[in-house]
Parts: sequence; structure tokens; C-alpha cells
Amino acid sequence: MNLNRLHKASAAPAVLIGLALFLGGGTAMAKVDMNLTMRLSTPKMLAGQKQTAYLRVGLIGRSEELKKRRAPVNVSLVLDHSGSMSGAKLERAKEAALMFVERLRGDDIVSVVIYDTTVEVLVPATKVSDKEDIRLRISRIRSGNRTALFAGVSKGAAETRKFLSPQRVNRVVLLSDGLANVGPSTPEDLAALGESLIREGISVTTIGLGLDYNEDLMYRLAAASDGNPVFAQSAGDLAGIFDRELLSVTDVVASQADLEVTVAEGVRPVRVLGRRADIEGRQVKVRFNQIYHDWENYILLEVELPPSKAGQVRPVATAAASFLDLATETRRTLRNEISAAFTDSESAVEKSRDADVMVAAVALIAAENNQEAVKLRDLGKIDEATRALLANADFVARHNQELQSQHLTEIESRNRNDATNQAGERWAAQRKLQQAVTQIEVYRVQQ
Amino acid sequence: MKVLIAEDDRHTLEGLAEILAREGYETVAARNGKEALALFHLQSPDFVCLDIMMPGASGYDVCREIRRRDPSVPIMFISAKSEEIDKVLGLELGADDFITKPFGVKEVVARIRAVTRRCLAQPKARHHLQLTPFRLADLEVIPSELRARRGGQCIELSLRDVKILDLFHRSKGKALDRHTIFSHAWGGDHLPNSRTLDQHISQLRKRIEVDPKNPRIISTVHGVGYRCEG
Amino acid sequence: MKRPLAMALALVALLPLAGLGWMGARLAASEQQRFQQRVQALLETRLNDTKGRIQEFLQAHERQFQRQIQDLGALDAPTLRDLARNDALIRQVFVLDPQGRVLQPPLDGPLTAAETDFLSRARDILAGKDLLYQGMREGASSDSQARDDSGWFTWYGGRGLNIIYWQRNASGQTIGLEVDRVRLLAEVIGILPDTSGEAADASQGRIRLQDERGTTLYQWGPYEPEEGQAPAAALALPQPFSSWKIACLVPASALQAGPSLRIQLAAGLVAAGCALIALVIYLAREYSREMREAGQRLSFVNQVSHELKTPLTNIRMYAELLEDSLQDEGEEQRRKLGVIVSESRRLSRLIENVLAFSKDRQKRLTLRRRQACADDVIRSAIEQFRPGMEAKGIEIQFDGEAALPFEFDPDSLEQILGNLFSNVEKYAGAGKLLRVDSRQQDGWTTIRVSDRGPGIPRGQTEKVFSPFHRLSDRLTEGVAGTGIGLTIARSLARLHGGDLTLLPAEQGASFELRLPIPRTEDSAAP
Repeated sequence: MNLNRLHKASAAPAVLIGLALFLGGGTAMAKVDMNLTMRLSTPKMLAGQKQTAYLRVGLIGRSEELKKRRAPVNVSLVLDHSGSMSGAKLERAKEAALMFVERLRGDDIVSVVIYDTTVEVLVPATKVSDKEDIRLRISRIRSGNRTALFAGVSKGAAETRKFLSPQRVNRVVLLSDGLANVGPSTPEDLAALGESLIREGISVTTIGLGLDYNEDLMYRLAAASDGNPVFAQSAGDLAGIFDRELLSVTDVVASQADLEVTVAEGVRPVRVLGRRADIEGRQVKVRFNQIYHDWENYILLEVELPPSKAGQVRPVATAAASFLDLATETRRTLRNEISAAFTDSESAVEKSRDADVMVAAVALIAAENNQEAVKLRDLGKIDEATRALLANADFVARHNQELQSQHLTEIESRNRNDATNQAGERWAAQRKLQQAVTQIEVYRVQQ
Repeated sequence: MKVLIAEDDRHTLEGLAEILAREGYETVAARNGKEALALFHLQSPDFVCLDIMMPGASGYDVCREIRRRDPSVPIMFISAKSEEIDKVLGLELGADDFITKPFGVKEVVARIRAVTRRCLAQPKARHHLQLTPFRLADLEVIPSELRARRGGQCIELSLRDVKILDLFHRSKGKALDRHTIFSHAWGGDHLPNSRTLDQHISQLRKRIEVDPKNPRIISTVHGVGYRCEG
Repeated sequence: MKRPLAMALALVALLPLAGLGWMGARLAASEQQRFQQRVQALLETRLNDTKGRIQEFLQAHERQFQRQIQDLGALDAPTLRDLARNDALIRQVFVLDPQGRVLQPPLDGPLTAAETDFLSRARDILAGKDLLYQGMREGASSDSQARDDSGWFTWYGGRGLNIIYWQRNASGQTIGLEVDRVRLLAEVIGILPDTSGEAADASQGRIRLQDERGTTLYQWGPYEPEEGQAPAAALALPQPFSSWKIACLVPASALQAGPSLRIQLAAGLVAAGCALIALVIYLAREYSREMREAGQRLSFVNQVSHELKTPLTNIRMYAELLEDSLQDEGEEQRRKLGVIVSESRRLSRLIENVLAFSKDRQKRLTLRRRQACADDVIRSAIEQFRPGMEAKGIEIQFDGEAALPFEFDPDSLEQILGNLFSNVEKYAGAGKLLRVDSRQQDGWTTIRVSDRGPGIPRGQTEKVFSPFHRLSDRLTEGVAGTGIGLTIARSLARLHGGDLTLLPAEQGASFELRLPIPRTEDSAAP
């Protein structure tokens, strides 16, 4: 799917609708109150040396109207019904799916794809007019053989693709308990799939059930496609998870948001924390699939500034965001820019520190360090992993001395806890939790 | 000498009995195997003629039974099915001889005489005969062989013949009346008529006399009987 | 039944059956093969349908790629990066100058992480431009017309299959799009059929999309194949998936020729087998019935003969007894009695002959040897025949020099002589002579019976001994006879270990009977 086409496609009808509404004097919605924020961890920096700073660029939008009226949904429910799902697990999943369908409205589009060794499009993408039929089909699902997860998601995406529309919230919700063993089954493969899906505007939410699923695979798939990776410890959790997914699906205020950050001359972009983003020379480009009401999506960019003279004000970066306003159903753009001031005064630097940004930066760095520790633990290097976790805790503690952040304290203690549990039997569950938390950390930070 | 005949065909039985009687044997007749065994125990014959195919017990069974009690009594089989005889003539059943149907009188006589010769050799045979050979005129009589010789000529004799000659020999020169001869050679008291005796003497003369018309050995004594001059 | 015959019959039954079975098996096999080929053709058609679908899909993408490349306009880094970033399928865009040097991504400028990764993966390909150009020429596009200016190019490296779609523009530059393999696969899966969960006909089979290593990427169809089952049909896919294939697996039962054919063949075989067995049984039963009936006939003959013996015995015995009693009586009565006796003897002889003949047929003729005197037997036989001979005016001469007793069956000798004498009486009466000579010499007793009758014609000297054979009717017209007399006589002679032969004679017939004198411990040599 080429976004250029989407743009072209959406413009015409959007204009017409807008015109119609205007002419008709109908109840057109007010545009979303979207803000493109740019914050530096240290707006004032010490002069005379190279400085590392963290630039946070975020998009946050609000729309009370949209919050009330929810955007129509185009969701594909992909259910694993392979042999390992038999019994209570499958029953719970089916119950939850039924509940999910129950909450959909007539203008929502739903499809149900089930997979074991082969894939069956149980309910092809269709407007939710006949819930009874959908319910019947879901209730007839029986458990099967092996697990063609990749194919299941591909089919689900194909169903979603049928009614793909920027006006809608386009999702694939994957429920799986087992490994993938038919077709491409590595986390890299699934991540690649996720990456390609987000480019056409489809996100994948992965719900891992029980303790046997391959969390890396599920997370990479969700992460790459801007979806949510969720861990359901038991089948009983599923109803609640579906509820939350539905809710989250319904308060999207903007979609297909492209964010472009261009650092100024002399400034070097080092890395992007917390999400995959392309650094092209001095440009960092990022795509957010969905912007939720009152929920900031941001990236954290680590930048290196050249030594500057005291009193100099140096532009750091400019940002440009273009997004689809779901209230007006038009594409809008925003711009912003930020500069940093240089001083010899350390206290001035201290006072200017933006705690939130720092906290977010530290949290994200800690999350990455935690990922590394997980990798070490996976290799069986328990001692090294423990050391890494403790070092991470120390790192967080160091920064937290000044920041005094509750969040960071939690992170620190969690790392210490994780360090003591490295050798335990609860490693499997812990690992999943670690991953989940880390990934979620990456996306959203409580304001 | 007493002979037991066991034969289920009436005519054959009576025919054989007559032949044997003419030869000078006392006969005991049985119509089946059971009777044969009973009569054997009762009468203790000097030898036995057994038909093989008889109702009830076959000749073989009777033979076996008899052999159990008396291993030496001569047994002769009368048979219509010749192939069975081969088995029998083995030591198995211990029969002495056999005769197959159809047989003629001469065959029967020859076999009987052969058996008799063997019998006479046995100590416990009852025959009241003197076995040592004797002479009557130019005839040499050998009772144990049932034969008489004149020169090189051999003459076969029946038991009765031998008995008669024996009598003549013992009463040489004496005239014997018919009763005496009859009782000696036939063993009965009552001579029905002289015909039987006279016929026999006549036939005997044919056998032993050089000229039967002019008998030299047995001469007729008119009104009395016969006499042998010696 | 005799064993060789039983085996022959069994062979008659089994060989054709085996032949039929073999032929049937071959037929079934070839039928099976043809069926399998038909099934395979069918499956390949199905696969071709799928391949066609995939081909259409790829062609659609090719056209789209071409459009996208055309729409590019300026071939600068930002434009190309935009395209890669926004298109779900395109990972990377690169441009080569006509000499094959990399123009984009700009090697002298800052590269994104993705671009660095791509360049390292494609280093060998891009460096060896000959390889690249050659490959590009070889990599025909899915379009049926192989074009020289655009197409697919694939190579293996990194994580597997790397796919490029390239196009040469008017300036001779080559623009290449690296296609995301995973995404392409997901899209292909999207257009391929799914599998309904309803109990579908398993003979539909299963189709698998397999990569270069045979690993299943996607599969559909109601049939769950066995572990390691081989596909019944497979097709390679068009570029860029030419190292992949779609394979169709069907249950073994679908590859079996319909049971109908096998059932027909089996039924045919069973029917033929039953027919053959029925035939064999019929033949066997007929044969044993024949044998049984023949046996019954023979045993009937035996039975009759035996049954005749007792009354015959009685007749003869009583006639002889009467004869003895009537020794001094009338000539006429004696003569009549003589007839009864001699006729009953003749009857006896006939019965003996028939009995001996039937036993001889059954190979059950036996001898009862005992010590006896041959001359005695000859004399006795002559005496029996004398009345009859005298009545016909045949003189009897006997020269007996076989008085030494030896072991033989006298009854058999009597039977032989009886047959020979009776023949003389019947056929050689005109010669008016019956001459019998007996000798004992060199361990043999030889008895010669000669006459002066018409003799035996030259060509019949052996045939006379055959059963039922009678000399030409001219000679024997009006004369009764069973034709078995000489047969029996010879059999009896040979049973002894001797023989009965016809001697050459100028006049009349001369039979010579030889009986061996068995050597015992105390037999004196003659």
C-alpha cells in the first residue's frame, strides 16, 4: 500500500465531506487539538565542551468529541486454535472473542481468522450486521494441530486490507499461546512482517496466553507494527484484555502521523531511544500509526552538540509532523523548533533541567540495558546478567539522586529484583513480564 | 479218529462229512464258529477242518482259540478266497494245511490222508491201530503211512482200509463175519445192511488185489464173511 | 488316486491360475500407473491454477513497481528514502550508472542504518557487475515476454532469499527495488486459499508452498499429510520465487486406482479360480468314480466267482460221491454222472481263469507254492481231460520225466495245463494228438504240450497271449472261448519266474512251459 495513494484518496472525499458538512451546516467536528512538543533534557548547557542531551519530540492530541464518538473499527481477530490451545484455554478465548464481537457496532468491520497447521478465514471481513452468524462460527472453533502463526497474521492482515481506510482504526489482534512452527517463525521474520504492516497503516496487537508462548516473537511483531504486546497469564485475563484493546482502539484521535526531526548544523544525532527510527544524516523520521486521546507519542533522540560559547543560543532541531485528523478527516501538518542556550553556570544548567525528559531518557536507557541483560540471561550467562541488572539499577539510582522520580525508583527496584530472580524457576514468567514492561515502557510513559 | 468240521454251507458240510466218514473217520459237525469252539471243547477231536468265512467267529478266530488250548492239534482251513491262505500259512495262526474251493473228493481225501499220517505219528492219537508195518500175502502194509506196497508199486489206503487190513492181519486165517468187520472198521454196533461193507470190500479189492476178480488176499467166505489167508 | 495324477491335476488347476494372477497383477499395476498419471495431471492442473494466481499477483506488482519507478522523478536520496519508508513492500531503492557503479544510496554521504545493512548484504552482487548484469539478463520477469530492460533478480545471502526488482531507464541507469521477502510472502499468503474447517473431502489433498530447502511456508487443503510424505505433484514458481515450489500432497488412497478395477480383477480371478477348481474336482471325482467303478466291477467279478465256487464245489463233490457209490452200477448212469463231474470241473476251471484274470489285472495274482510233484499234476490233469479227449478221438501221449518234487504252485500248474489242454480240445482236435513231455534239467522243469492241429499263424505268435485275443474268426468260428486262457497261463508261468512260450513247429502248436526249480539247502540236483 502506498501512502501517497492514501493521501490522494483521502483528500478528495475529505474535502467533499467537509464541504458538504459546511454547506449543510451540519454537525462537523472541531479539529483535534494536536500539539507537537519539543523538549530538551537540559535547555541550558555548559559551554565550552561537547554536550550530550536528550531531545524529546512528541505528539499529543485531544478531542472530546472524538472521545465520545468512537472511530469505526476495522479489526481482524486472529485466533490460534492449534493443539496446545485445547480445553479451557480455547473456551476462554472463544468466550472473550464473543464478548469482543458483542461490543462492536454496526459500522465496524470485523473478520475472524483461525489457524493451526492451516489457516481458515472463519469470518471474512464484513460489516458487523449479523452478529449471530459470527457468534455461531466462533463457537464452533475446535482445537487443531501445529501452528502457522505467520500465515494466520498474513491472512488476518489481508482481511483488514480489504477495508483498509485511514478513517478507520485498522488492527489485527492476534491471540496465541504457542510457538510458531509452520512457515516463517523467527522473531526477525515476524518483526519484518510487523514493519511492513505498519507502513500500510495496520497495527498488530499480540496477546500471549499462558507461559509457553514465544514472547520475543510476539513482542517484536507488535512492536514493529505499533501495536500492543500483551501478556495474559491465564485464560481468565482475556476478557479484560479484549476490553482494553477495544477501548484503546476506540479513542484514536489521529492516525498515520509522520514525524520528521531535523537536527541543526553541527548537531549530531546519536541514537533514537525507545523505538526504531531511521536516522538519515541529520534527519530522523518516525511514523506513529495511532495517536490516542490525551496520550503523547514521542521519541527520544540522543544528540551531541559541539562545544559552544557561553551565551550562545544554538538551534538544536526542527520538527515537522503530518497526520490524519480523524475529527475533520483531513491531513494536517505542524511544525516546531527548539534551541539550546549555553552558560558557564552549573546551577543554571541544573535549574533548567527538564526532569520529565531526563526521567524518560533514563527509563528508556534502563529499558535497553534490561533488554541486554535478558539477552545475556538467554545465553545462560546468569552471573553476567545479574551483574548487568545490578549495574543498570546503579545507573538509574545515580540519576535518580537528582531527579527523585517515583518511576525511576520503581525501575531501580525492579532491576534489583530481577537480578535476584535470574536463576529462579520463575524466570519464564519473569522474562515475559520483563519484556512486556520494557516494550510498553518504550511507547508510553505516564504523564 | 474224530474230525471236527466247521462249515456254514449245509451241503458242503454234509458232503465233507460223508467223504470223511467213508474214509473211516468219526465226524463232528459245526455250523458256525461258536458251535465249533463249543464242540471242540466237548468232543476233543483229533483234528479240525475250519471254513474261514463263517458267521459269528471266523475260521481264523476259531483257529486262534483252538491253538490257545491245544497247540498241536492239526487244523486245516477250507477257503474260497485263496489269497488269505498265504497269511495263514505263516506261523502266525499255525494252521497245518488248507484246501480251496472248488475242490473235488480226491483232493479232500488226499489232504485228509496227509493230515492223518501226521496224526498217527503223534502219541496221543486215538486210533487203536497198530502202527508197525505188516504183510498180507505179497502186500506190505504200512499203517503209519496209510499206504501199501507191492514190489515197487505204491497203493494209497484210507484209514478204514488200514483198519480192515489190520483186523485181517490180526485174525489171519480166521473167517470174520460182517458184524465184526463192521464194528471194527466202522465203529458202530448196528450194521444196517451188508451192502456198505460189501461195496467197501469190493473197492478195497480193486485197489490192493492184483486181479480184483480173483482176490488172493481177501477171500469171501460164503454165508459168513471174509477171510485173509496171509 | 495315484500321486502323479493328483499332482498333474493340481498343476492343471494352479498353473493357469498363477498365469491369470500374474497377468491380473500386471494389468492392475499398469492401470494403477495410468491412474496415477491421470491423478498427477489433474493435480498439476490445480497447481497450475495456483501458479497462475501467483503469477498474476507478481505481474500486478511488477506493473506497480514500474509505475512507482516512473513516478519517482528525481533520483535523489530523499525521494528514494521516502519511497522505501512509505511503501510496505519496498525495503530499499538503489540506482546504478550504466557502468554498474552505485549512484544511490550515496556512498559518500551519510547513510541510514538500513542502507548500510543493504550495501553490506549486496556488496558482492553490486561489486561483481558482470554477475549482476548477467543475473539480470537471466532473471526473466514473470511477464511472458522476457524483457531486457526490467525484471527480477534474486540471490541468497544473509537471512535467506533476497529479492530485487530492477528496471533500466532511458539513460541506461538501472533502478533497483529491494523487495521485502517476508512482506511479499505475507501478501502471497493473502491471495492463496484458506482451509475451511468443515469436514471436507480429504482426497482434495493439501498444497504446500515450499522454499528452497523444502520448508513449508504456507499450506492449505483439508488433508493432513503423513510425516515425510512425498508430494504427488509439484511445480516451480515463476521469478522471483523460482527456487520455491508449490507441491500437492494427496492421501495414498487417492492415488489408488478405484477399487472397482481391482475388485473386477479380483472377482475375475476368483471366478476363474473357482471354475478351475470346480473343473479339477469334477475331473478328480470322475476319475475316482471310474476307478471305483472299475474296482467295483473287478470286485464284483471276484465276488461272483467266489459266490459260484461254493455251489460248484457242492455239485462236484456230490457228483463224485455219487460216482463212488455207483462204482458197480450201470454204465449209462456212470456215464451221465461223468458228464456232470467233468462239466462241473470245466466250470471250475473257467471260474478259476476269470478269477485269476481279474486278479492279474489288479496285480493281485499270487502263487501258493509248496512241495509237489509236477508229473503227478500232469497225470491228474490228463485224467480230467481224458473223457473229453477220447470223445473227440484225440490220443493222449505223456512222457513224464519230472517226478522230482520241488517247490511250485500245483494249482497254478493245473490251471496252465487245463488251459493248454482245453485249447487243444477246442482248436486242435483235427490233429488227433495231444502230446505232453516233461523234463527236469539245469534247475528248470520243462513241460511241452504239443498238438497236430492247424497251429498258430506266423503274425500271431505273440498276440495269442494278449487278453481277449482270438485267432481269426475263420478258425474259431463256432467255438466258444473267453480269450484269456493263454494270458493267464503265461502270467502264472511268469509269476513263478518261468515262462510260457510258443515253440516254432512245422505242424500244429507246441507250447513250452518252464518253471524254475528253486534252490534250497536240501534239494538234490536233478
